[in-house]
Amino acid sequence: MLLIRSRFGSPGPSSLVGAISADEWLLHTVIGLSFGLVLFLVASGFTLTLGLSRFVNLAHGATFMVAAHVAASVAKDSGSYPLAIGAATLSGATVSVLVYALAATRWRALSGDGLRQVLFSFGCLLIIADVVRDQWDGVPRTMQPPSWLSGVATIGHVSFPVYRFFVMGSTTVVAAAVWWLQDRTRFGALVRAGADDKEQLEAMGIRPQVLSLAVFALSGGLAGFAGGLAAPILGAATGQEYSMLIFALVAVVVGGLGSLGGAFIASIVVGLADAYGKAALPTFASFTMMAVVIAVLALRPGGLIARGSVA
Amino acid sequence: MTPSRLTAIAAIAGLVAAGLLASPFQIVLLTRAFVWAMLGLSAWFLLRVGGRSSLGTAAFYGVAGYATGLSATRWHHQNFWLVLAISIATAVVVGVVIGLVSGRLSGIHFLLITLAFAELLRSLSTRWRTLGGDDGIAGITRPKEGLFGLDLRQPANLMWFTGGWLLVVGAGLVIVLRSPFGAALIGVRDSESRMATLGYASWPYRVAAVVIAAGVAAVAGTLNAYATRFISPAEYAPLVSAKALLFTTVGGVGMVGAVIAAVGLTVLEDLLSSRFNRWLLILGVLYVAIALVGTGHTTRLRTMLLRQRGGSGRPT
Repeated sequence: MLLIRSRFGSPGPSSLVGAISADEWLLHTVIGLSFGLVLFLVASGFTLTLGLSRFVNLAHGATFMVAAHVAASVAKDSGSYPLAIGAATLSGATVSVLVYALAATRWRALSGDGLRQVLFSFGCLLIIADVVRDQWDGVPRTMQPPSWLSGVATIGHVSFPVYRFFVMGSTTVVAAAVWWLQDRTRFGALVRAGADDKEQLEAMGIRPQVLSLAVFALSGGLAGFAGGLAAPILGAATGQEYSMLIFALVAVVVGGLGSLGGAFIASIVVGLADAYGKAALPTFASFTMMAVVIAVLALRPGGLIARGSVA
Repeated sequence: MTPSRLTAIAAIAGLVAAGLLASPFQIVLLTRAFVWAMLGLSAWFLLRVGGRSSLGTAAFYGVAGYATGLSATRWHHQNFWLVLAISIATAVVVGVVIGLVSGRLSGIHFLLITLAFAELLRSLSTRWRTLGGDDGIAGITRPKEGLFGLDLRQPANLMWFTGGWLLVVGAGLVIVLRSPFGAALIGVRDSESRMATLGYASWPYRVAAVVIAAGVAAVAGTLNAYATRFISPAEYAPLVSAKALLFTTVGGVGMVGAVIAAVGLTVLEDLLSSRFNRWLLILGVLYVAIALVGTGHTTRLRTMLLRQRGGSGRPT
């Protein structure tokens, strides 16, 4: 939590809302948008497993944390940025698949039993976090952006790190790809069909286990990619297993459970609320987040885009 | 009722025996176990009576702990009852807010949003210097007098006092359950539409269930702050809420089961953590094992947690 604050938040002294200039608003908008987009990748992974497999994966934040650590280590050892991002994505997918494989041993007991899933995935969260603490000694890691992205772009009077624009661009591309996959491909059609009626899908000769496996891999891959991509900004640290999970949960609940579009809007809203909140009221930044949650749920209990049937 | 009453009496007798035989170290452990049992009761009430599983127990526990810490160190209150009242009042305010916001949510929605609230409170406490930031509040002095001239500065007295509060809280919940109000709570849990036909609005009961759980967790938070004499953002940790929920799940449907599970698992955790460095790993394996292997109790829960009140049953 703290790490995210200090790195994403404004470095300047605390100031009141009125004291923030237009330039600073622009800066915080960029900060908020880039964080919101990273958040969407994490939240969409959570939504995917929840939507298709009706599985509450509280270990999703831990997946992000593993990927961030892997990215930082690979970048340091190999010096290759693409390799680091690739390794992060792969590690995220692997962790997620392992969680699914473990769950699959007793899928019958877990499916439809939300409380069991919570206990199970919380246990996975503890295990993964402990392994990471053991492997990386619990020391926070940083990662340098590649040299071709480490410059600063000046717009008006404000200097923006180029890397943030790169993050915004690449997350947008991936977000579009996820939407395309879900909405326009046979795989997406199967996933949506599986969410609605698993028996029908099985009767058509499609094994839901294989589909679930693919969705978990995709979900973990998205979190892994996000963890790697955000590592030069957020770093890698223990505590991310909770902080990223909470941000993702807020985005998913505010967006409406099981809705990718809702999660997208909510992620941007949460990212911006977080950035503006930290800029305007550094101490009470979490209140801005709570205010968003309270306002949205008071007006629309099902989230921004309610699908209704997802329990 | 008789078997459960027998279990309750046996459990009380066992705890009293343990208390009498305890060494100074075990006294501290038992005090902590009683605190955890109260947290288990808080989660139990919300789950079994409110019909909703919460990962926000830590929010009430933490808020009450901080209220106690501030009362004792900043405002120098020495009166236990006053401090307890302040703590409960603070937790109830938080409970009302969370209860109102999440009033129409159930199942996973409710779980996620309560978890989010606890985490947001935690991040607030790490950043607010008045609350000590990451360092928390140290040097919370125990009150000289609790009840019947009991000197709470003595660890053994505090243990008995905490155990007594566990009984009081348990008895209080039983009284609530047997009252017409409790019957209405269960009615709302089981069928909102039927209660609506009878002229009961459901939302006050759903908020009330959260508020009662908040009050129970607040007693635990206050006693914990006195027991450890220190309060930090760690009180809000998701692990606190998850453990409370675990006790409820392991303990089965009954209230006594949750208490026994809480005491047993706290002692077990203490044994493990004193022998192994990586006890969080062991705890994680324990969670996974219980979720994968556990039978009976949890399957009955399914109907409770995933009953389609929030989904298909939502008024259109």
